[in-house]
Amino acid sequence: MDFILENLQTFLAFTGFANATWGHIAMIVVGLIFLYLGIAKKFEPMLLVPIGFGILIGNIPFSAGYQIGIYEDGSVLNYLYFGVLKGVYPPLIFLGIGAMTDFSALISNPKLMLIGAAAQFGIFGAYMASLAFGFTAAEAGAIGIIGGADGPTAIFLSSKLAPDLMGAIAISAYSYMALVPVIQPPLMKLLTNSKERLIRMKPPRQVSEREKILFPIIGMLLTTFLVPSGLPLLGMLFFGNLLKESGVTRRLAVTASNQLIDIVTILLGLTVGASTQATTFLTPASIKIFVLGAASFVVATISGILFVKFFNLFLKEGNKINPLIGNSGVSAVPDSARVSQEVGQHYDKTNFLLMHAMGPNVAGVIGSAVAAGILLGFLV
Amino acid sequence: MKKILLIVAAICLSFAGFAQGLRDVKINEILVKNVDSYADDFGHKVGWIELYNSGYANANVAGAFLRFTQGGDTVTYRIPKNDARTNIPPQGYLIFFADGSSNKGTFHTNFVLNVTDSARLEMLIPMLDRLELLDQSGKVTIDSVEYDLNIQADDVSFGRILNYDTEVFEYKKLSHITPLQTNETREPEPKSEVFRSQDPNGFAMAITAMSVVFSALLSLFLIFKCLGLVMQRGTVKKEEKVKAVAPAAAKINASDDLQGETIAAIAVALKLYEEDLHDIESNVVTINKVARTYSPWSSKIYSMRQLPNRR
Repeated sequence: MDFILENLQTFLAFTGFANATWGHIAMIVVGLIFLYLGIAKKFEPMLLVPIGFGILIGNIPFSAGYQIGIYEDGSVLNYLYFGVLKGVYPPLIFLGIGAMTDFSALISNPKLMLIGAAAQFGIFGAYMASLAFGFTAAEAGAIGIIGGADGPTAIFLSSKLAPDLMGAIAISAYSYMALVPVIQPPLMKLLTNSKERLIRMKPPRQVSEREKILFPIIGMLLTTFLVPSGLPLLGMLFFGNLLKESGVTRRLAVTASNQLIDIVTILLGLTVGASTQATTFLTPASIKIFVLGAASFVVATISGILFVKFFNLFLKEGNKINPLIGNSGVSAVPDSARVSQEVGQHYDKTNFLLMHAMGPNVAGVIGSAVAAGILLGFLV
Repeated sequence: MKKILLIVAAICLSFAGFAQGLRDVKINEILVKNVDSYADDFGHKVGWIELYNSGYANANVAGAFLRFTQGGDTVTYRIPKNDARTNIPPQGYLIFFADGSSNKGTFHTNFVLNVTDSARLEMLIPMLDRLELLDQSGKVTIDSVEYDLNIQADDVSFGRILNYDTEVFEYKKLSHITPLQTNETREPEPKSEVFRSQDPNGFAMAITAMSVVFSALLSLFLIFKCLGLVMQRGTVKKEEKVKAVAPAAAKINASDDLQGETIAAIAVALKLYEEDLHDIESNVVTINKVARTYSPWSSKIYSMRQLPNRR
């Protein structure tokens, strides 16, 4: 009898109930909120569901030493986490993004690229704020990239600059990306007047096949010659786009933009979520990162909108840009472009801004990858 | 033509392979007079040569040569190919003991570094000894170093050190011997912190980085603006050609009569028409009796395999 009781006691000591801390419970609640937002509110479900469930997986209490946890060498989760830690998954996601992105809007109206550049100020605004908050330069660079509104780029950069903060940075970046429809509209309404909101933009011209093929080749050569450290992201982005646009590698483009990106998204979301173990995640630094992340999104949105207003001063009547697409400079594709469309439609049901907003939106992807390359070049 | 292209590609690839391997290997440190310092596996204290892979890929020195020249005499040691340890990992080190006993193993050369030339010493003639690392062909020098035996002290090595003023590596006498380690004994400050010390608020970073981001996208903008103009001009020329060839067709002025909406309406009408077309059918309906012990309408197989579809 004693033996059975002793065994039961040993077993109980191994259960999650015996090892649970308030930190674990708090993180499980966070995971459940993510799942709620993803499933019930449909905020970026493809990201929030894997991350939310990953948070649950990562915060199940257990006795260490049995190769279970994501940070334990040799555990299955640790092997999967390798792709995050070594920056393998983000370039693969960029390959898929490239293969599913149509750069026509940007090619037909190339001046929209500059909006994508202006919105990157959010990154460097957050960099300066992070330095003021007492983070090291490398950590500040990793936190700043949240303002690029690009999850894979944020993970890629933080894995190189501040691996310890990667969980908090990734969760913060993806949370705010999901909250783009909540964060951006008030700022867009605040910074524009009724006349500006009704600006109708010229319909984009038809882009030839040759231009579409040349774009990824020239884009890759130009941006990577300028910022070689952005090569993993920019190279894969433009390569994916060439697969799509060349017209001769349809199978590869379909795989990259469907199965491959889906697999990598599952692995990335789940492991990033699981990396938020209460012991490493619940720190004052994480709270600061969340505050800075929100600020960087706000700064990025504001700088995009204000830049369009400034740019309009130099443009002729008829060529003016609707400042409601300024928010799309942050590279949350295609959410921020969708926000431009929805806010624009709110004021004029016949004004379709989506195609125009996709221009700065994809330029934002290029801009944030370039910015990540610069931060890597300066800080590593 | 294809063959020529293949040959050119193969040559390029071989150059690329070469560039990433042996070329990164440097003669990093040499101890000529070893009296009481780093010993070999046999416990013998002899002169040694440290190689360093400065690259970020493995570099295999198997088959390469170490050539020692003193005056007119040259001795060459070919590094054996049958030892896996000759593969130097990225940023890794390898030591060869110059004891003149190559039969002791892969890492023992057939020459010694402190050859005493009595005549030379007596006459105090400064003569430089030369050590070279040659590639597998034995013709291309990967790295070389020269030293004067007369000024070598006991247990004092000399090695490759970065001169921070000129940003060039130089061979200097080292304060400590550092076998299988970096010659830089002081811990370098992280680049990010050096950057921060010069830019504590991040303004310089913000301005520099934003300028680079803008210039990257501005260059793309300019290129595609020009490209767009060229393409549009090409389209206009083509249209003019078509008009010249088929004057009847040219009567329809695309810019005036065929607006985008019209084209879209025609396209939709054509699509609908084509979708409506189908092959002529036989009009014979055949119903085969299916003998099943269960009704497929209530089968669990179908309901279990269905995915929930939230709308």
